[in-house]
Amino acid sequence: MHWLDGVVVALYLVATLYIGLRLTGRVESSQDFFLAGRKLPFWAIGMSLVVSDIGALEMIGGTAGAFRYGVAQANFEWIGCVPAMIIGALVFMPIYYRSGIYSVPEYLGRRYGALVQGLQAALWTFFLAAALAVFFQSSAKMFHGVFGWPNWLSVLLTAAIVSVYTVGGGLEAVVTTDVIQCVILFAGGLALAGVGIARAGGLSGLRRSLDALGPRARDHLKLLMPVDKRDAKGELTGYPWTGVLLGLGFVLSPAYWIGNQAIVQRTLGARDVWATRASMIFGAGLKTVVPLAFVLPGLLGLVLLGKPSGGEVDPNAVYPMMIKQYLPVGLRGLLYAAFLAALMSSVDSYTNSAATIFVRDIYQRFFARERSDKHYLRVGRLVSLLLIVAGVAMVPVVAAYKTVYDAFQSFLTLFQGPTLALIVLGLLSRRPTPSAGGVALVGGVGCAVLMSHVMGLHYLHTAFWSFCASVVLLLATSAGTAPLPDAELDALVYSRGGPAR
Amino acid sequence: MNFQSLAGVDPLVGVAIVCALYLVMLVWVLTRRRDDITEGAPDRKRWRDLRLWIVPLILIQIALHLIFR
Repeated sequence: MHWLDGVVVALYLVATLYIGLRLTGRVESSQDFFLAGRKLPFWAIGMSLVVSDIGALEMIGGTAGAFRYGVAQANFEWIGCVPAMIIGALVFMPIYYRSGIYSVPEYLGRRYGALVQGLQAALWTFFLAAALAVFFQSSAKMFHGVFGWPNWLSVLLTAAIVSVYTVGGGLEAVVTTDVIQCVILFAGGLALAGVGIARAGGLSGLRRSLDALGPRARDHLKLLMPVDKRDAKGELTGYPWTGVLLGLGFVLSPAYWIGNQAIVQRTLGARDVWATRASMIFGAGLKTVVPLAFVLPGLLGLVLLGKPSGGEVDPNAVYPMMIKQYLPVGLRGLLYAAFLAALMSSVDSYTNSAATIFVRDIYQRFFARERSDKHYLRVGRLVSLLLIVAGVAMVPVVAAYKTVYDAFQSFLTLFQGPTLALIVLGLLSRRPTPSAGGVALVGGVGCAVLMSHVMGLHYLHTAFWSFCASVVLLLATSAGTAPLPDAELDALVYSRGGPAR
Repeated sequence: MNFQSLAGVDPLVGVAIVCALYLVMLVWVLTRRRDDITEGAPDRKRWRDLRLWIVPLILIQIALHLIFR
């Protein structure tokens, strides 16, 4: 690494540590720790929402997807985010905020009972904790390739810095450092795109070069791809438009933006209901420009570096190759800092969210109900620290048994459709009952397993059909079981004359 | 259930559906009361009306789907 690039990276790390440390003394209660004392401004939450969604691996994967499939990769930022964020802002987040919850499992627990809360909390805690180890392990490999650093250096450096501000400052420190990380990420990504466009002869030059690639890049400027797009071996490939619309747009995206703890928790830290809504809309605006930074470089890589899959360039190597070949010294350091920022924002978010769910939905709900607020704050800090230490300690395990995590991640996606059904119907209707919630969750996941592993459906289609199955189960079972009393439902369900208050 | 029966359908149909859904969302947003949208806002300044943020967002999404169709 050139010394000037090293200075840029060091400046970023020092700034993050300084700001994180300044915020550690302001936490006095568990609400300060888990919800930043409910005083965050909308723009900081919006930036934090977006940057938490962009990990170092997504930077590589997004560019690789654009290299293979073209602008269709942008669906994950556009139709896969914007509509759900708008609806989430106007309908769902205000109800979460007013009900005074700290987590999504806590909402589901109030709406459907302890079984659903316990299942969701255990699942999310385990997933978030395992994901930390995978972030460390995968990123260490990537940093070794990009920076030439030994694996232990990037793991320990990231873990040490993140643990200082996450354990000390809680959500406020996480969101504040996310703001810096967001600026670095966008600056780095847009710098690469700008240099790449200049190299390609402008946007018109890019267009001409893509046209010159012929059938290989025929669909690269189309957002929606055919249902039966096939690769050179005749296998179905890409993102079928039905899956993008029904699976991504209607199920996976809403499940993420209104059901993922790391997302919801940030909006709950807002100053007021308006800031909760504004943060999501502001985040949707940022999402609109994300493909310029992390999809466009994939298209540029295609015309500047070589052929799509099957050719001589590994799609996963496109982003690092673009950085090494086309960015000048100094700007390259900015991209290196962006990689670190992406990793740190993911690690701090997952740590804080996992600690929140563990303390609120498992420890406080099932083991220690009537303790002091200071006690829960201490436990929250301890769990955060233990999660990071466990993440680092599990790196060799994850490296050896990566397939176990992959299997678990696939397992988690089977929950997306059923969980979304419980949230949407539970929030929009008074009819679903607690008993029906348990049946729909377990039955819906069973249907998803059948569709995915027995029938071999595409994961986007599995998400859609398992959502439908859960809706049917929820409504059918609710017809024969007793609902919650109206007084309890008032704060948990949207009402026709306006949101419940 | 993998929608292979729609293999012959042009993805342009998908573009039309997406744009139509965005238009429905646009109408839904515009018909919401200002008091609901600005609930909790610290003041009554015009920019606090989130409908003014959402409308361009939706129009940009429609434009992107028409450009990359």
